[in-house]
Amino acid sequence: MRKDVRLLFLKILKYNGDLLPLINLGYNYCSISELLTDLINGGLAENIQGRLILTELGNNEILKLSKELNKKKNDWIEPKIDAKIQIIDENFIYLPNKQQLSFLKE
Amino acid sequence: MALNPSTVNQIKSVFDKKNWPIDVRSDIKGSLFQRFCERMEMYDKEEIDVILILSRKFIYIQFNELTERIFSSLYSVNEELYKSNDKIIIAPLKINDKNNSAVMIWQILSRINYHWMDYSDKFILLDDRDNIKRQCTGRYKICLLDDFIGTGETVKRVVDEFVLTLEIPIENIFALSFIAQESGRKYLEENNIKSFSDVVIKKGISDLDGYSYDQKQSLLSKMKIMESKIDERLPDCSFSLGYKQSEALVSILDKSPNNTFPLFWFETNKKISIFPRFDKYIKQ
Repeated sequence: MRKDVRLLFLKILKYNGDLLPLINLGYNYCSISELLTDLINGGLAENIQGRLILTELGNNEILKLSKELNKKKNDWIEPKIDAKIQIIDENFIYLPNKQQLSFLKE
Repeated sequence: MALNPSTVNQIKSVFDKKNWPIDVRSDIKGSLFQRFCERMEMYDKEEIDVILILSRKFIYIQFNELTERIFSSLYSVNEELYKSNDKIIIAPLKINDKNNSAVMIWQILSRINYHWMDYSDKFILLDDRDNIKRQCTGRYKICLLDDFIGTGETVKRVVDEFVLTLEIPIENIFALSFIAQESGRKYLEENNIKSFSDVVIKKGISDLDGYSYDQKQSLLSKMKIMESKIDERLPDCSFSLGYKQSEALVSILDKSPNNTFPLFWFETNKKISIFPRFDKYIKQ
């Protein structure tokens, strides 16, 4: 798993946020459930009365990854990495595929 | 909107407890877990909690359980009935010559080794009505085998057919299933039809333990609202809350009976169901 994706995943877990960015990156609920199990088994997250929370180890992992990826402390708005595309030539006319635009989905 | 990690983990806990598969390789149509999560996307936390409560009671029979379920059902029959008869004619519970799940169960029984079972020397497996009639001599009983008894109406229809067309006394016929709804069994009893089942289930919400009458009524209303989120016409259909309000929580292989809450099986071309009954969903 890419470090920036792992960081995104840990942050979603920390705030119990919407998993859509991860789904847009190609993960499905089955693979997400496997990732969650790995985090729990690795001691990074724990289940407390039905709610998953990050442990101290999990929070430290966020700090470690943020440092490695040169994230600023006040970087509280996450870049939408699932919407990033490859750099294209300035004269290229880009027509996105309607099916791939997550905000147009029902 | 997608689910949050805590909800995915709660769903996973239910799957782990129920021993339901989480197949990472399958796509949405082939993955029960994926289908379950996608259906939850249209509901809020409170609604998901209701669905998870019901899911813990849900019986999903998978292919590898079939032979064990057949044996358990055969053992659920009153021993006295086996002892006091020389022939137990086992036939699928089917209407006319329609190929249904009963035929499949019956065919599996005819291909497996059941000869180690007590009284199995009395079993005669027959599908054809003429052959059945020919065997109806001496001390015999006809066992109509099926996977599920819901309201009991289908059983009554088939038993009536045996009584009227084959002239077999009603007391010589009994129904046998893996699972039966308590209300269906009661209906059969009122119509003098004997039935046996390995598992007898109550109504999913109306018979829920630990809830007051008002709480159950509120859950039923909530269920109707949840149905309308799949299709706004659903709460007005005859199978809203399950056919004739059966409130069943059952799925056998990949076919849920219509007695099951439609929230679990109703699907449209855009909204996939958890335990399908019909394949309507078109992958985007």
